Amino acid sequence: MRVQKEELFRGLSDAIVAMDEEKTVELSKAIIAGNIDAYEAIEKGLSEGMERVGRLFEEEEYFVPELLICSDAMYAGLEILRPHITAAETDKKHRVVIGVIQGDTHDIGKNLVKIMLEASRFEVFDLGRDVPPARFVEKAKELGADLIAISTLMTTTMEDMGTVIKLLKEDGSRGRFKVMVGGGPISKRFADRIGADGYAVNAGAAASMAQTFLKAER
Amino acid sequence: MKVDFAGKDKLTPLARMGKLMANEPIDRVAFNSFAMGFAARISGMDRGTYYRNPERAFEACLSLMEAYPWTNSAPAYGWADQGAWEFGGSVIWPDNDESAAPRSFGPVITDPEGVDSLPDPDPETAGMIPLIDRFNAVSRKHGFPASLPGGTPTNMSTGIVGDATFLRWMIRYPEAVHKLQRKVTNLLLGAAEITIAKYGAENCAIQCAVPMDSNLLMSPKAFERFSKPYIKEILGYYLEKGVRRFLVHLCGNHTGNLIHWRDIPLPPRTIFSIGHEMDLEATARFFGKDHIIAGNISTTLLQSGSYEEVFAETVRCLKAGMKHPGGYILMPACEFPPNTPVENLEAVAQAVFEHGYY
Repeated sequence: MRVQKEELFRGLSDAIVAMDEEKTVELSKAIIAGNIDAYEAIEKGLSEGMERVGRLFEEEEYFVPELLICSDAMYAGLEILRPHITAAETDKKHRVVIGVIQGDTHDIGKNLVKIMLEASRFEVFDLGRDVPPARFVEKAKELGADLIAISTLMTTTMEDMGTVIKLLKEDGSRGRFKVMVGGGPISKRFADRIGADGYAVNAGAAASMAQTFLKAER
Repeated sequence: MKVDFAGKDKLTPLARMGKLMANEPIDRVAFNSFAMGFAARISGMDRGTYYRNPERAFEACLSLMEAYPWTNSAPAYGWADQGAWEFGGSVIWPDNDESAAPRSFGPVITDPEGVDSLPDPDPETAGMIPLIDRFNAVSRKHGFPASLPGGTPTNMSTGIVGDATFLRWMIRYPEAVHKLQRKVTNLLLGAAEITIAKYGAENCAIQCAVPMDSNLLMSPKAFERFSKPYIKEILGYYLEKGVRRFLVHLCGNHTGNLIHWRDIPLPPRTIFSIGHEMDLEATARFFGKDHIIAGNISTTLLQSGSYEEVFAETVRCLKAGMKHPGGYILMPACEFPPNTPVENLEAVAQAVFEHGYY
């Protein structure tokens, strides 16, 4: 039984890396049919696969098209496995509010970060594109989020990332959330200047950083 | 503090550029601001007004050139988010906005089957084409070249179906990608034919910006398969027709694609401008002394950096670019940010004045 379970998890991971949505679905269904723990399957199968994909992306073996297709496979598997996660396991998840800052509609980078965060088992609430600064704050408070992740590709909109932090400070809630920023014109220097907790150079680094933030808090 | 170039310059901006293009010695580095939104702002107009009114956009660019006569700026008009409007969608104008460019309302199609039913747009009237033509008309009246449609179809194709969809199709539906690229290429060539016939090839110039073809998005293999054949076709057409003024703006990281640019037909003295992701010296070495390198002042620093930081950054670019035997143009890494403090443009001027002379 244990061997079979590990084989299924490995198979799931391989299917993700192989961009094989059909196989991912087949194995996910087999996992449910075999009464194997869905949360463990997500962790050791889907997420593990996406971590491997993330490394391939950093090594420039995979590019954005491959990452997107792998994520399609991951989401297909999640759709089958998620309903079988227990409420307690759902409660364990950390919440992220993510979006592209107001004035900007470029969202590929944000979507890649979302994929890698979800693959790392964060619960991600996607505000979409062209998001006013106040909306990040409002949603983060509403959800009791742990992390606010803000993206932009344009120099003309980046200063509004600082506005999000300013709003958090003004209403005394800055300490409740970690704030991470990223995108083409963004740098660590900029992140430090506006008072963000972190800057990630790519989607994989964003997911790693998010995990680091939360480990530091424990 | 205004810098007095008049006492030090030996060439006018026009003469400087002429000699650079002829690969003759020049007095100092030319600076092309590549400013559109900044020109609009300095003229007191929002970007909606700029883009809706090409004639006023031209005036704004001329005003900027007159205000900063030490630059080698040229009037510019265009925006990156193209394709949807041309193929039946709509555009959102940045009215009352100093920062944003026009953008598409959304993709026109998202299913690969939809490519066949996309209309073949009129190359005279589709989307932004008539606006470009109005800008070209006023440019020609003032002796500036007319702009030809960009040399890659990928910008428009991603606008038609959405970035993520296009990238997914590269793997799932490669034939649909080729059909789409073909349709867009036909439109670009149709518009180009009209422009060349109207103004003459010797009076036309091409700025080929390739942001969606970068390795930040697609692999070099994908570039070779899905972009390069069409870029070759379009730029080859321009070359065959007698167009000789080429600028290729490598927006993003194109390091992996560079090898493929050797197969793409280009005239000597093509200008390669690069973004902040690429290295000036390495890219210049790659293209060699037959071509000109341009770039790559950080737009983040221009907009948000201090005077001292912009000065240092400009000096960095000058030191790297001036080594290139093919010639160098100082430029921002991408469009000059509209919100750049005027003091930071003065920092660029000071850096050129102190370090930009040969």
